[in-house]
Amino acid sequence: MQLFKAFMKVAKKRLPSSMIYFVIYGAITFLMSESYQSTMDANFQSRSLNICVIDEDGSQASKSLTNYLDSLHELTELENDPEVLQDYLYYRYISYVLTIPAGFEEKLLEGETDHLLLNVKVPGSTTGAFVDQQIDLYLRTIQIYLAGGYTLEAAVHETDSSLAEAVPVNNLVFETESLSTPKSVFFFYRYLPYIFIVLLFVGLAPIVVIFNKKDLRERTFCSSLHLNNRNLQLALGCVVYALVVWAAFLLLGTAAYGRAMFTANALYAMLNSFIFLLISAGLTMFISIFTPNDNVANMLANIIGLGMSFLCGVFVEPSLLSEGVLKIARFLPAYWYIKANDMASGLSTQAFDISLYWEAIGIQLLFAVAIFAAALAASRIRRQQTAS
Amino acid sequence: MFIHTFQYTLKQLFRQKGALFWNLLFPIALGTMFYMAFSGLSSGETFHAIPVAVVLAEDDSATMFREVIDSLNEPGDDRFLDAVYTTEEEALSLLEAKQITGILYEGSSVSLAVSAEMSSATLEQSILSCFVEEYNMQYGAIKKIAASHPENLGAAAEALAKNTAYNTETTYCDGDMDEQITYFFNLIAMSCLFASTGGMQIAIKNQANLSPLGARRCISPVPKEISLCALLCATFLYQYLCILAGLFYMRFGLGVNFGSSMGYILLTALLGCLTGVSFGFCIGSIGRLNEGMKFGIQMAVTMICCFLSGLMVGNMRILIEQYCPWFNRINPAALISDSFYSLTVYQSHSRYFQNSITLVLISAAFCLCGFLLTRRKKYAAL
Repeated sequence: MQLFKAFMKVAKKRLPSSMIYFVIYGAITFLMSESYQSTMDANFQSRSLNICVIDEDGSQASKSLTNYLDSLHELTELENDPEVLQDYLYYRYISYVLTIPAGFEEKLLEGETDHLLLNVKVPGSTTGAFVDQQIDLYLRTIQIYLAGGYTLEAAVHETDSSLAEAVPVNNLVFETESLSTPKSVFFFYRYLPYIFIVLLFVGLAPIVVIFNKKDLRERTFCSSLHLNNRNLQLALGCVVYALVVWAAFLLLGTAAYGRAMFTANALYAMLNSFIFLLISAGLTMFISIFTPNDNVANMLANIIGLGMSFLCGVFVEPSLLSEGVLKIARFLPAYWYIKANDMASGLSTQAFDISLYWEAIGIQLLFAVAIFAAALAASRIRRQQTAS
Repeated sequence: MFIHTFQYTLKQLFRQKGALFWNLLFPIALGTMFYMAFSGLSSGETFHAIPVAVVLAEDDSATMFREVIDSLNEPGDDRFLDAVYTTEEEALSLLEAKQITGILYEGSSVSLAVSAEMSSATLEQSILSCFVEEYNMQYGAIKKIAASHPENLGAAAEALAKNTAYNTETTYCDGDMDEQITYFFNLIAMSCLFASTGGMQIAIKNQANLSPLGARRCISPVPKEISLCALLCATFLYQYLCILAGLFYMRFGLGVNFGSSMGYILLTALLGCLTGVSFGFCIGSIGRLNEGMKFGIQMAVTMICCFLSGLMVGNMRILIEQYCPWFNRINPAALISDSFYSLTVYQSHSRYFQNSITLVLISAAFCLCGFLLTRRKKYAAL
């Protein structure tokens, strides 16, 4: 185990720079899962959006419309500056800007139905259509009452009270398990593929690269140590390093989410992350054979990590990706990771099915085996090249 | 001596085939993957007919509700529902399998059931709930009017049936509203900041304690500021050309919209690259840390900047704008991507210039820092 020991010594020496990466990417993991939640944290009835209302009329009708929207959504106070509003809309921080022009109430009372309001939204967006629908519902109901001979005050009152009396939506629960675990746990796991790949590529690959450097490699090759033995010791080193990273992240998760990390569905996600960890360790070993230095390892980390994450739905929900992309993504391990994670969390468009979960785990395991095998084969080829 | 060093550094850089390959490959490979991932992505934001199951009650009112459902179920561009009429049992099993978003029940009033496990479809659920509310409220309004003001029932029914356009859609600008292109802007920003590796190499190759070349340079008679300037210029040119290759590939190969004015696009990449190189030079010159540590710090800062400008989560930039706006004004990645953004969205260039000037100031500060840190460094022993 000489080589393994040397591996650990190098790892220890590089501990400070590994710690930098760990702290940074640990922070990024939490920031990402928090930011994702802020857009997802919406239990059904209050799917509330951030919207901005600019009331230039200041009348009873405009105020009641604003109150109605306030009861459904989060009204965001923003400067009435087109540039500011445009920025917030562009980055989807707010979904809708409604301007109630002066003279709105008069037109409403006169029974006018066209161009009473102005809005800006992301063209063609569902969120925009949703707010449109709500405003339409409100104004039309008021106008029906007005046409029926009610005063504005009575019409607003009737409309508001019928809103309050609305039949509550029946929220059915089919599996209690996935709901008992806070979603934040699964968002924490969701980003781990990217984090693992980057952390191992920038932290672990440079260590393996040292053992693959020409002089050291040739010295090891001409020693009595068999190539397979050397490779296995290296692989063991990689797996141990990866396990330490995994354990550190689980500790972080436990510190943040406590017992929620150990509910049945969260354990499914944990196992899933372990399998992906093996894939990342194998990939690291594989790329270390061809990687000349830290910088290239870092570029590869981002090409493979970011590329795979975007293609497989780590950063954007898979349901938003096109069919063609998903077909390609099937050939990448992160696709199966996200599939298993989303199913365990109940975030998927697919209901949780234990056989599908094990299928996703099995496929990832196959990926891990294939990648380790490829790394060993590449190392053998490299040796043959050296020999010739 | 400046030209000599400049020329040979450039030659040396271009002859490192491996490094050149990776520098070129990086933006091109990632750009291609982004392009693939985002093709068809914006359709996720657009509205699609909502799949529902309808369970009808066996009485007269059901026919009226059925008429409403059928009219919304008609195939076409503005189809609102994708409805099937089923029994309650079947509807529940469809809902459990997540094949429908909700179940509409016809009764004394219409009610809705949704699945608590479909958090990916909360918006559709809310739209359905709004639809149910609308139906019940307006149906209820007509009933009330029939009871209290029967003489106005005709007018009320007219108001119910009337086609309305209460709400007129406008825009603030004619620019592209496709948020996904910001990922490409951030990719260019990341490539620019990755140029810092080149800048750091300069500093390291000038430090006698870190490289033999540094030791050689320390005893040469060429003034350090001249050789450093030449090295910086050559590295900058090299990195800029690499980034331009990626930028041109994205602009012309993938058709990413970076705005119409090529000159400004090139200027942004130039300033971004300048910031990257000078940042690396500054980090590389700090203290006597070893190369691994310096590289770690540089990458950590780069990735944090890119993350906070929205490389991984697109709307991160605006969250920062909300909670700590000053950071967006000094984060180089955010400044670079915001420059591209303002070029694609706004007609006026005032914001663009504000970003550009900040980038120049940041670069100048980094360069100055680097020069101050490297000057008069003496080594008694190595």
